[in-house]
Amino acid sequence: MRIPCPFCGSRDLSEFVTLGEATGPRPDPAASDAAEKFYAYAYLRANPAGPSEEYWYHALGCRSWLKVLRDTRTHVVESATLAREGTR
Amino acid sequence: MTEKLRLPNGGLIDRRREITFSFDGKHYIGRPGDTLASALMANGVKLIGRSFKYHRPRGIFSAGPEEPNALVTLRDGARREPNTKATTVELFDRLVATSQNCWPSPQFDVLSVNQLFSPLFVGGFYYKTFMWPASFWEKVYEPAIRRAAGLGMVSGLPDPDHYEHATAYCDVLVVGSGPAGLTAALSAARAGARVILCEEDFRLGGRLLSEPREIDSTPGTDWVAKIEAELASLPEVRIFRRTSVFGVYDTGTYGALERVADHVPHPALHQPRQRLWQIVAPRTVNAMGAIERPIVFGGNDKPGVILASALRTYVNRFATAPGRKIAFFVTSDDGWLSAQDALKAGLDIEIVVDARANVADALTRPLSRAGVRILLDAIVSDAHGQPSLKHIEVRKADKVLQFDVDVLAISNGYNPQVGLTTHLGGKPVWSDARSAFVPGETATGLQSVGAAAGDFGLAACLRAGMQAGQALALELGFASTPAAVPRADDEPCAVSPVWHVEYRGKAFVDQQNDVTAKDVAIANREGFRAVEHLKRYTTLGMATEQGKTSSVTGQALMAHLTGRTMHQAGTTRFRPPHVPVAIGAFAGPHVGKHFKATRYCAGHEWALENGATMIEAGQWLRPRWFTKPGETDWFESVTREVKTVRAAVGICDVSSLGKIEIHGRDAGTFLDRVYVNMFSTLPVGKARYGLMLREDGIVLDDGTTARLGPEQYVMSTTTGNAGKVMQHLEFCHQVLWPELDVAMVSVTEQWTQYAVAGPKSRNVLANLLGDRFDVSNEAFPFLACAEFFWGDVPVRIYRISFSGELAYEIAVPANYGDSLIRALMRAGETFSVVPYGSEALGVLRIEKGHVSVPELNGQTTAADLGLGKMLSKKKDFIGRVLADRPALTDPERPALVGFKPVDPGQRLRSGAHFLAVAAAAVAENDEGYMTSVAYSPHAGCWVGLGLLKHGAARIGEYIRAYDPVREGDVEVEVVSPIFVDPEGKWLHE
Amino acid sequence: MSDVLTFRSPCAGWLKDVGVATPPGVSVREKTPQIATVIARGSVADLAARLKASFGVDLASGSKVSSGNGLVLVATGPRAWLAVREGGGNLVAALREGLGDTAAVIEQSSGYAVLSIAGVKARATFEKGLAIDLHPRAFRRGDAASTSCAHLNVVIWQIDDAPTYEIAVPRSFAAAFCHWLTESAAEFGLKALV
Repeated sequence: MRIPCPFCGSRDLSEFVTLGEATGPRPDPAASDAAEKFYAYAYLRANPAGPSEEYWYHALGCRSWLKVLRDTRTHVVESATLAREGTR
Repeated sequence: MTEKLRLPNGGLIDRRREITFSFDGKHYIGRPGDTLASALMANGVKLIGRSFKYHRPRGIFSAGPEEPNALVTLRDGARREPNTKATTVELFDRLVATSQNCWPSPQFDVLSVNQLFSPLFVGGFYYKTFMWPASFWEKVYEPAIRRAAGLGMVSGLPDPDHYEHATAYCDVLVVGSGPAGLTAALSAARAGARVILCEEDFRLGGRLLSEPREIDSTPGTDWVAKIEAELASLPEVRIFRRTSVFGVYDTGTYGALERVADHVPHPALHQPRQRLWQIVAPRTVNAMGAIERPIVFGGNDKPGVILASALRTYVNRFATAPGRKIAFFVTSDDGWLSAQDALKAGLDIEIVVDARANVADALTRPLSRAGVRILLDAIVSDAHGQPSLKHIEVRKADKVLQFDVDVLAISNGYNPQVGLTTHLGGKPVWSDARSAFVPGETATGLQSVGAAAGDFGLAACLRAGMQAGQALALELGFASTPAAVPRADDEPCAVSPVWHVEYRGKAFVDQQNDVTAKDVAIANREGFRAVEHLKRYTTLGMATEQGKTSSVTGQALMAHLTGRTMHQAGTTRFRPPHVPVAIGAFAGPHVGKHFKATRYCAGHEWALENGATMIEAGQWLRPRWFTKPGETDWFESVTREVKTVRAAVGICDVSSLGKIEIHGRDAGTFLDRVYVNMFSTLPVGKARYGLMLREDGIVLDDGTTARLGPEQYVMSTTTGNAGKVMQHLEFCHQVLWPELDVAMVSVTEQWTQYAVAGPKSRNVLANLLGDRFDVSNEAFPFLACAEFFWGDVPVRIYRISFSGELAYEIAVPANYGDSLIRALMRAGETFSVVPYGSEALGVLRIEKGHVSVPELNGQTTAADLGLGKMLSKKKDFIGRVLADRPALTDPERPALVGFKPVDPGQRLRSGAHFLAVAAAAVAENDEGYMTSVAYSPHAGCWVGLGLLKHGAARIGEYIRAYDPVREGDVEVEVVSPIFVDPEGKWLHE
Repeated sequence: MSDVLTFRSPCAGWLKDVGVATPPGVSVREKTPQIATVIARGSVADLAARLKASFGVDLASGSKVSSGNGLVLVATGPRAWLAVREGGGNLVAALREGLGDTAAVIEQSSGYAVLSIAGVKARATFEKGLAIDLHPRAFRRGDAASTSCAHLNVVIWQIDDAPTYEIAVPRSFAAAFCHWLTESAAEFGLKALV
């Protein structure tokens, strides 16, 4: 599998580390329901059979965290963007 | 020994040169251009080995990688390689091969009695018979079966050769160099595309090497030479011979094995035996051709029964006859073409049997004119002879005829090589028109052409290859000028496959695995009817040949038995590797100590000069202890090192600990968010111990972080977690808080850092640094840090302590690291300084009650480690919310305490579990476990750290440390985890 | 004590001639430049402007090498560069002064082994370690890549069309890299230049 790193270009899977599904923004720790929100943030994942937005780290490359849209059935990567440029 | 079956003329062999080789100890002569199989055939060797289960005699069945029978062990000694297909082994001088699975010889094999017990070995036999009693499996059944069944034996010696990995890129990868592959490569290359052409044979040409065809009015082999020359002249074409593409992976990635030195006795100096290629190609052409199918009849595995296309190859390419008197049993036009070639080569053909009633005159006439007997609408039902073929039984209507022949060539149509098209999930589909499974929907970028796509005619192959090469180049943006398709005629290629005939003897579907038609019937009877179930139940299509000659036939038999069409029955998908690949090739150069790269500290050489025994810490090598002359074991050395640090001074290399520089206006804020404690308030010139959690509230790592400037911090991490922490920090910055003005970079490599610990540490540093830096307690108190220059070399110094002693850490750029340790040791000479290793470091930190890797084990909270008070209430930080969950704050949770054996003579073991003294040793009574132990010279006994329910509240109690694995059961006293200097006075002295 | 700290390069003792070929297919020379990591703190444009004003270097965007007046900046990430300069002076101090608060500048002169690898077989050698495409259509003079070579994280950039590559390898991996290089280039002949 190859991932199109926005900075480095198409690179082999072996250069990357995955963190799994991209979660939403980190919850507000001061909110009254913070405990539930953080629970969901830390543990709950949709685990789709199909397109899945995931965090990948280009560890043996430019050290960028990427948001990668990958089809979990086919490993086809539709897009990869720098996570820092995405919405939080 | 003469080449008694070598034909007088023709062939792509070099008749001027002789190659001597041996098989089963007998010497033979072959020619350059031969395979081992063709050379053995030319020498009249019919019997190559014995079969997997029944030890039946087997010969040469094919002329390629689909060979199920002619498996030999190649070479001897450490290079011995079992299960090599004689049909793919390029003959080399002094080649040594031996037969397999037979003793004492393939002619007389003791275990051929297995045939008499063959009812015992039918499909599902193992599953049913060796089930009970279970204890018999390991001791009785398995050893017996292993002796009786199986293939060759490995050498058991280390492989003397080396293997390489390499990566290549191209625009168009062409797999196979037959007519379709050559034209595809040529047309893509002419358009300017970068092309890699892989051919598993040692010659390009594919079928054109075996069939005397004309292209553009020139002989096929001349045409191949011409195309090969043009390809070689194009700068963007790479031709990989002896290279099998074995796997298709995601996003246009392919695995290929180049047999660099398999065709020579041993690799040349600096030459690898094999090279494993990863080829990245946006477009790929599968031009792997097709493999002829056998027919299932009695005794169809006898040596002498051969695929008709293989016979044609041996005759035309290798100029050898497979025997003296030949019969053909065909259901295809192509079988007749093979018979015609045999006739032209002067072979004595006894009869051609075709199961079809109608065959074109053009096919039969040349043979009938030559007086060959022809029987249409007839079948061969049985082949007889021991050990090889002597005669066949032919049935036409009710008549049974017998013919004395020593070769029976069979042709039942072709199976396109669809293997690669299924690696990413593609499912081949049955084509009635072609009587074959052809590639179904395949992954983007992989296209099958020619015979691999079911287009068997030569002209069709040339055209399809040409068009594919042009089209793919165009897709990739190369403008191609259409060129004329090489001219050739399409040969007749009709086929009406016969899957099943009436027979008496044993009829094999899969010769490699000794799966018979009866086994397929049993699978049907027992309900294993799906093609996947059939494969698993009978082992049909497994092992080195992976069903290349057998799968479709087995599936056809099952379809017949279950009344389904081939389309309904379907076929199995293949997985990589398409051909066997040695484990050594997958390991490549990463073997032995190069399995993973070793990281060396700058002081490595000095450490070795001074008696260090090294230990791996992650990828790093660190000194474990330093042996002094006269010391006989590690315990003695480590104890001396610990005592010297406590009494005088010791020096330890701490360079492998992770070091991360964090810069920026918001560096303090950032650290506040990733650490549980405050860092924005840390004064410049000070260091502080920090603890970081994962978002789930579990401890991630710890270390000291120093503030070297208003916007500059240096964080340290444990050796093993350095990479993980860097990744975590980058995540926090890039994903969570990109708005913060913070920049971070690992400087682990930049600095060589030594801990100087012990009451005399200040003296050593004062002696080393002199006027360059004031290390007095007043100028540089506990937890101070500073950076200064030694000449033009920057030096960093920290007053931090892991050992519990008065201690410093001093760092210089690693290019000066070797020099620093030598200077430190010289400066410490008068203070009896010793170097100490990771073992002593471990003892010192355990005595001090400092947690380390065994306690930061991914299961512990800050409170578990006695560090709960560090959690700031004034700010948010990673892990704060979830660390507050009831289960993580439960007072029952095992928490850090110290342990001493009640009998000071007893040894403690980490990993021991805690039990109440009188409690039974069962899981319900488990109260925690020992994480770290050491012999403490200070305490005069073994001491331990561990996690015990209710933690510090238990101090003073007596419990058991129970370690059944090492037969340990020690009564221990629960004590404070701090065994030395509990008030921390030494640190401040 | 009046000890003087002495310099020892990361590859000292690890590079040697291997194989027989005249001329050698590959040559290698260890370089010992000053190195600093430069990370943009604000916008890359601000950093580029300061770089131009202070050092006369035009910062190329993307994974490229930018150079001028002896200073080379090799891009290693969207916001990070390795600054490399041979010769005297204090690189970190000069960069900090020249770039001001547009960038964080971190000393790395001992953090990497830097090797110059050239020759007609340089690409064939790198094929055995790098998983990126060094073909002239894909990678040219002035291009840079942060990637892995035989599982080691490296930064590689192309200097000229000889082709000559420079490669920065984390210091602790210098021995492992030299081992890989000598094994991989052996069949082409490797000359270690000093």
